[in-house]
Amino acid sequence: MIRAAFIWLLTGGLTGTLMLAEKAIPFEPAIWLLLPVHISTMIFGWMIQFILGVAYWMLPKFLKQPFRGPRRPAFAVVCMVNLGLILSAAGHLVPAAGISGTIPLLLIITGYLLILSGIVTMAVLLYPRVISYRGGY
Amino acid sequence: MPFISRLFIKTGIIYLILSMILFMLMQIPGTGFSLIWRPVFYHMLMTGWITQIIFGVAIWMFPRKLAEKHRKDQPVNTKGNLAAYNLVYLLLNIGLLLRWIFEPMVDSGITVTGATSTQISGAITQFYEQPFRSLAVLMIPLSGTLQLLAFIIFSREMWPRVRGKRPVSTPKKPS
Repeated sequence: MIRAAFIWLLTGGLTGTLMLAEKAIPFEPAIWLLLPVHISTMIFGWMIQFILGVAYWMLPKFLKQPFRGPRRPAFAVVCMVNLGLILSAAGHLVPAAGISGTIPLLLIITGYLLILSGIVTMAVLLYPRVISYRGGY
Repeated sequence: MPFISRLFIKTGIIYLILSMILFMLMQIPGTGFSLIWRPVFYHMLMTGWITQIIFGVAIWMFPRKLAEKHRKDQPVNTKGNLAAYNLVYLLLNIGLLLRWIFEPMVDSGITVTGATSTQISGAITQFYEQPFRSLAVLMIPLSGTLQLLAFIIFSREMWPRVRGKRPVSTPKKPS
């Protein structure tokens, strides 16, 4: 999850650099289609995914196996969040390829629903680990 | 906590305070801090504060690279290539500084709503007039490039530190 976050950091940084260059030296207005991709990759792909990954690693562990809770839902979170980001980015970019109508909207909504599902699943996994070893909440 | 981590985190805190001050100024009409400062505010918060806090804590907390962990000549608190982290700090903050100074110059010609510079008033906006705009055309792409380079170097340095525990082989004692 953390390595995926680094990849999204580089993707978001690249899209941001392209838009900054276009802002200063206008050469291709279509680059501004990258703005929603830049926003979602930096917020959901980099920041939220990195923080969730570190939280999954660092929060207090359970006293018996599996120490960080069930592993399959955790892997499912990685798949959901990253697939959701790819779908939402595709939905923002397909109008540049001439595809319009309901397909871009469908891709965007599906993508963000997947991201939401992943975040909710991770929240459910992490919630019982937010404790103090001295007892209580 | 390594010095570079403290530097990242303290710089991040300063950016948080500055971004909040900018946000408050943006709410007050007539100060010149209008829509053109919105991208500056967002990036001051997201890149200046959150990302730098993340960088600082990650450098401090992530496991050392496996090759460095078992070297006998390394100091105990080695957190990797400190020169690379210092370079990341410089590239990121110089890039951000160039952005804060020059992005409003470019934006004073265009805005999110399409309003032109003649429709936006304010002493600060008027300061960013023609003589400096040609410099901004060079500095804006440079600022983006510096920030991207910082991200690339940081990702390259931290990638091998994202690892699990591995069994430590017991070194052979000399006979």
